[in-house]
Amino acid sequence: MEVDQPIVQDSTKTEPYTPGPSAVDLTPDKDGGVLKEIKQAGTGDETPPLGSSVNVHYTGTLTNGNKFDSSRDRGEKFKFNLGKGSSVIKAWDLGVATMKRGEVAVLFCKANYAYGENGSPPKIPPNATLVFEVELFDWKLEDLTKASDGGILRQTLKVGGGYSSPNEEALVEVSLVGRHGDTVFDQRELSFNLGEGLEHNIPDGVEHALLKFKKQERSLLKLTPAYGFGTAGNEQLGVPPNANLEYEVELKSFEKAKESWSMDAEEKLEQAKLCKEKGTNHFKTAKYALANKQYSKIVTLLEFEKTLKDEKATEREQLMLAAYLNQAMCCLKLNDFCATRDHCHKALEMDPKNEKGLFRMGQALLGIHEPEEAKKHFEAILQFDSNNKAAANQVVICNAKIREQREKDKKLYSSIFNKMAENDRQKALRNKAMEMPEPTQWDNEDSENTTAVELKDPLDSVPCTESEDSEGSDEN
Amino acid sequence: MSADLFLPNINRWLELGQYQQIKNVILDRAHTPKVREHGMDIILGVCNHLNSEKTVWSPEMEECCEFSLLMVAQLSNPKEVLIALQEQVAEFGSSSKFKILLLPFQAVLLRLPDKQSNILNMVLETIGEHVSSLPLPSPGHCFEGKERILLDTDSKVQCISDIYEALAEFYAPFVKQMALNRIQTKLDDQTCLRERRRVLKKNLLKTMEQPLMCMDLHFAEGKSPNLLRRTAEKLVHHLSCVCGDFFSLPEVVHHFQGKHQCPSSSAFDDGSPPPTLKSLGTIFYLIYGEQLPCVSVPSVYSQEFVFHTVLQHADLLVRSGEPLVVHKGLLLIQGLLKQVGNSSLSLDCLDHPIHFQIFQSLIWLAVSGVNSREFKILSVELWRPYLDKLHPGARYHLLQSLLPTLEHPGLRGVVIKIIKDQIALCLDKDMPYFLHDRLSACLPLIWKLPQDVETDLLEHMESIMSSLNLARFLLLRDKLNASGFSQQLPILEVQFMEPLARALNLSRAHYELELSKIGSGVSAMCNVLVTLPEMSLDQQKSVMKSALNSFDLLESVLARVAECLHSYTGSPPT
Repeated sequence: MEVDQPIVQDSTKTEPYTPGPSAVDLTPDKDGGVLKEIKQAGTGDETPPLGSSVNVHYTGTLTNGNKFDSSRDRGEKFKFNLGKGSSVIKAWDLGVATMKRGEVAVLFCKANYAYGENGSPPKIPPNATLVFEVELFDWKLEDLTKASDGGILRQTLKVGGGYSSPNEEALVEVSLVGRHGDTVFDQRELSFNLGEGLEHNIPDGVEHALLKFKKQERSLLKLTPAYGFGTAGNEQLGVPPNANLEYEVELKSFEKAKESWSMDAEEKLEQAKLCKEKGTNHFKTAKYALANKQYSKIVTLLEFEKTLKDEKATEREQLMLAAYLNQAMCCLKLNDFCATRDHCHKALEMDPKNEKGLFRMGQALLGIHEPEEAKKHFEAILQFDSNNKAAANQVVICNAKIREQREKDKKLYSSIFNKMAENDRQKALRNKAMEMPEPTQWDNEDSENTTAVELKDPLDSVPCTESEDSEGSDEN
Repeated sequence: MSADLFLPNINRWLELGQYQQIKNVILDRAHTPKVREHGMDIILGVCNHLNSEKTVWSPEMEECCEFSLLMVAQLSNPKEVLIALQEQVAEFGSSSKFKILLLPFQAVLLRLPDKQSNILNMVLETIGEHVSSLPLPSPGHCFEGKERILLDTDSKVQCISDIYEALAEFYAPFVKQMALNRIQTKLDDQTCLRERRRVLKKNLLKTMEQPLMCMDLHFAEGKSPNLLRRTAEKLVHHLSCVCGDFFSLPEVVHHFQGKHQCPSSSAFDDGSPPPTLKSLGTIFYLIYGEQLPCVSVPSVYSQEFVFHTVLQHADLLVRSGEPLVVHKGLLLIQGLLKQVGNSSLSLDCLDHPIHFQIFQSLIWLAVSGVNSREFKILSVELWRPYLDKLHPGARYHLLQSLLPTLEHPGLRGVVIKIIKDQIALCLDKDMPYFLHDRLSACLPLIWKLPQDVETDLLEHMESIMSSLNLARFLLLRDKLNASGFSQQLPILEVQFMEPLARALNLSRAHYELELSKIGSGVSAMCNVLVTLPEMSLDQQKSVMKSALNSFDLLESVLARVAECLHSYTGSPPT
């Protein structure tokens, strides 16, 4: 980002600017609202595509020559996404889109393409015309991943309308073309609910990107395998493993799923029941990740919904409990034991004697190698239901694991103790040889007595901690 | 002085309080090698002295200790000094001791080579941890109005102020070294600079959280800002030196948080928790809520973008529930509203979930959030200017979705009043947004009693009054039925006025009975008063009487509406 450029002298006043004869009107209506004059031509013919993230330096002045802002004074280039129609003033979206790499241009912007009648206090007065000198450096395609790892790149071909984008669960109607290299492997028009794309052979990356599409938008998406079909590929579509994919997607329309804030308590309850049903269907067809998503929605819907009364309140409780238990089950199937443990924990908070909760907790704990804790949970089940064979079996498994663990520990410790005994013996021999029986004397090689280190002078303790570290790592 | 006596002497003088002696000895060039050699012992001695309960604190003592540590930091092996100081800071100690350690820390860090950004990070984190663990003055307490000014005299606040002042000083040289706009040379190692800036950004952001965000940073015009406020401004300035665009910070924070979740990534990042978005709330509060001029807010972003982005941070502040943080959130919203022109947010903008979220937060605040009258009033006062910024169509949509979900009678009253004003505006300017079908969708929700005849009229007084006023307004203002409201008149009569008249009779009879009971000395445990605190007979009587007065008022307004209705339709009043 930073370049080796001497910073511009901080002068707050420059010559007032008036657009020269070569200035071009960039507005669609040709109302003279944005005029551009090229100061230094750029290279090549390419201009930044819509949606790309561009890097510029700029200096903004008022028409009287007073400077109000400059990225050069800050020493950092300004970066923004082009043509999204919302993040920068209109004049910039129009102006920068026509610039080429390395071009320096002056944009003369009337107030209605900048900050309007309100201005931007305290720097920009009302109804101000602004003059920007902009230098365009380079651009990158827009990265839609949360981790900014370049896994989903979007190049907008046609800007969509409005502010609205589909939310999770929204019903979307899209037309898409999927390419891998030169082969087209998918060409469809379909509608599906976001979050259930995998069922329709739509990869994660496309679903994720659709959340950021506007209505009628058409864009080219470039996906890395992690956001495509991964290491497995997709046999049905004929996508090989680890393939980079390109999708051209148009979002024709979408129906937003109702957001939870716009539902009242009873609606939420109804919705939660629906989620449970959907989740169970997914579960039965072994789509655990999808099922888990549905169950977790129950929690988001109802977690803080405390206004329900009487029967409805108990219904909520039951749904919540079921949601936690089922989430635990899904996570167990997905081998995510830590998540299982957390869900069980929540379930047991609501109902400490819940057998399913206890059982799944036990299984999760076994999964993360905590057999003793696991055993406690299975035994708790046996306390109120001594006939529960499954739990009894698990206790046996736990005992076996515990024994195994003990054996391991035994071996480990015995080898440590042997080593230490050997050390002691050698030390005794050495002491004898040197005729210097000073048991309180502490030396570097003998580091098992760590408390001695702290009692010592801190000056000496510096090298000793180092030697300790190195010894510690040897043992590992 | 013989070599063996150098240390014992220093320790003895410390005990005896002969600080000038120590300074003389350490300053003596002849002793420089000894200071260098015994640096660790001096640090230990001085810190023990600072830790000791017997020590009498005086400015002279503090100065001497700081001076001694500073000399050691400048002369001894920097790595050893760093470790020794680090140990002392990490140890739980008084804040005064902490403050004394800062300058020596800074001196020794400046001696280390630039490459070691991980060491810088480690030190900043240790210091940050101490700062964030400073005790707050009565957490959860709502400081209202003038109480906030008195906060400055609280010893805990003073302690936080002092430490923050020292902290800003501490950061200054590092920020200067790494400022984005410093003259760059060919020798600069860009990766190293970037890494060090990252470290600074992260730790500066964290200073914006606890305890700073829970302090009062507001100052009224015409008064001088308090120390804490000035320090906060300094810290924001520091941050703007290493971060050119504050609107890139949300991404930066997400990045830090992302890294934190997978500890395998970077060896030195897994120390303390990463900064959160709340830190940005504090920064934006200072910039937009308190009009702090700042170069790191590019004047290129559009008004809507700024509004929507910053509003999300304001929402986080409001939702925190911590009174002084909530206060910042409210002031931030107030300031933001000055940034955008009236009616300038388009109809589409409601797609942005923040608008509903912020209303949910404001409603929560007004109903139950924080136990402070001042904040509740402030939160409701924001409604109107906020709605004014929206396109009238968006206003309608927002109000229409709020109406059925609002249960609080006071707030319902406010919303109905706002709707009435919007209808008036639409009639005056001939705009369609609150008329005809749209109005017909609203009115049945407004003209109804929540529990029909059994409604507690006192509780719902405000909302009922507003509904009646709306009816009266329409009947008088819109004689030509330009708004198309007259279709809804049957609803007004059947769903609202008739049950209201019956409810009034019931309630009045009930209260009159109770009043007569009290008068005759019969048990005061009447149904209506169960929820009221214990009060004397006289007080009960006056409560009853004021209730009856309210009923009178309601009845007279109701009668007026019936009269208007009569003259509007030409049928006799019911």
